[in-house]
Amino acid sequence: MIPTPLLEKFGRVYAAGDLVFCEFEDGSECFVVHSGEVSIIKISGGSEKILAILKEGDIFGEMGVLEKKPRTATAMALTELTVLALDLRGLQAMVQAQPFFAFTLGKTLGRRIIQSFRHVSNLSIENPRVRVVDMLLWKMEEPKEEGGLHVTPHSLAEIADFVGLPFQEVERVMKEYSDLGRVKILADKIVISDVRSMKRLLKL
Amino acid sequence: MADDLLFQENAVIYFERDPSGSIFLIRAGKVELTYEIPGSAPRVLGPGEILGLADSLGEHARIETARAMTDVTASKISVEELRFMLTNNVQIGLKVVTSLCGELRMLDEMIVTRMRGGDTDAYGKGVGLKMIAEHFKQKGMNRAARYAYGKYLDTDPDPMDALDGALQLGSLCERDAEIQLAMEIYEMLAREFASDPRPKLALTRVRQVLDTFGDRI
Repeated sequence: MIPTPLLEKFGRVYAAGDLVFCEFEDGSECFVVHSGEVSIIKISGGSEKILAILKEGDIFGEMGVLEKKPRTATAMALTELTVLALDLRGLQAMVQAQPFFAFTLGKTLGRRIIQSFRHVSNLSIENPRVRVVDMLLWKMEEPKEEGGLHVTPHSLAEIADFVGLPFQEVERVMKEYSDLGRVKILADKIVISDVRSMKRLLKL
Repeated sequence: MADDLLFQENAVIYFERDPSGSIFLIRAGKVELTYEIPGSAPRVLGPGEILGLADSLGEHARIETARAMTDVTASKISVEELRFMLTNNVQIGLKVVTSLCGELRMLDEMIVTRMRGGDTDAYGKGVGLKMIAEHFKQKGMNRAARYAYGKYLDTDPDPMDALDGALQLGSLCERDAEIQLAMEIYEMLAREFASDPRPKLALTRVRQVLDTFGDRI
């Protein structure tokens, strides 16, 4: 929970679709999400690749304020968004006002490094089929109830973005698995009906 | 509080996939970090640098193998001790966070390189911002495009490029204050172009921009 005085001093509101910052611009602030959602994206070759979707309590743009280098991605509000915009002094004020903030920020960064490391590992898989399956299983959520469905809560287009392959190639691979009854492709998610055989593929 | 440990040259401090839960602050010597990911380069850390920070804070198994390249002295610090240090010393907190940022930036650059098939595609700042602005304009996301064109103009591009950018920005403006600001940019450009060796072309372009804005004010 962000203390009100900090919110009054450093709070900033964005409408859905607004850019908080843009890749390549110089950064001097980092942001703590107070409410709403923000998407971190890379734009290349006319397409957008989603790196992360961040929510309340998440921190982003910290590299701009601490390393003073150009932004490496674009941050766009997905909903109405309220953030704390902190420059270095604001960040220090936040660390002093909230003793746990540096530790929380460290944990957030640690988790993001692990995610990025995992992503690099996925992108190093040369076989496109194996890369897609590895991504599906990585992003798969545990069933909410015993015997429940295994679901990867991303569309085919999002999976194609994550694995850095053309959409048509990912669609072709997924259609084969769909025809074999191993997955069910829905508009915004993929249901994995046969997790065991998909996992076996990764071991080949 | 922390235990100082000595590792002889070539000793493995930890292997990839070992459990984490503690960091090592290098006091003396050099440590090589290697990764199982194909194509990843080893890293070398020295005195004052920290091993195992991201995986300990991210509550994950070790993501690299750490080997002593020389005799190494390092302080082993548990996550609990680290939490105490971070919450009691702003400077240590900022140092640790900065170190993590560097690591994250390195990984994010690897992701981008691999997504682009090894093509690092190093845009200059101005070219990159213009590319992003055009992308959003094409998608009809005018507010996002306007923001990116504004940042593009901040990079002080060549006058003709600036005029192109200003023309685009002007076509996307909706609010009076933004139009006023854009007008000021155009007037400044017009003055600059007046002494340009290609004044005719330049002034024609300026007039084109001003006409665009004339309809809106």
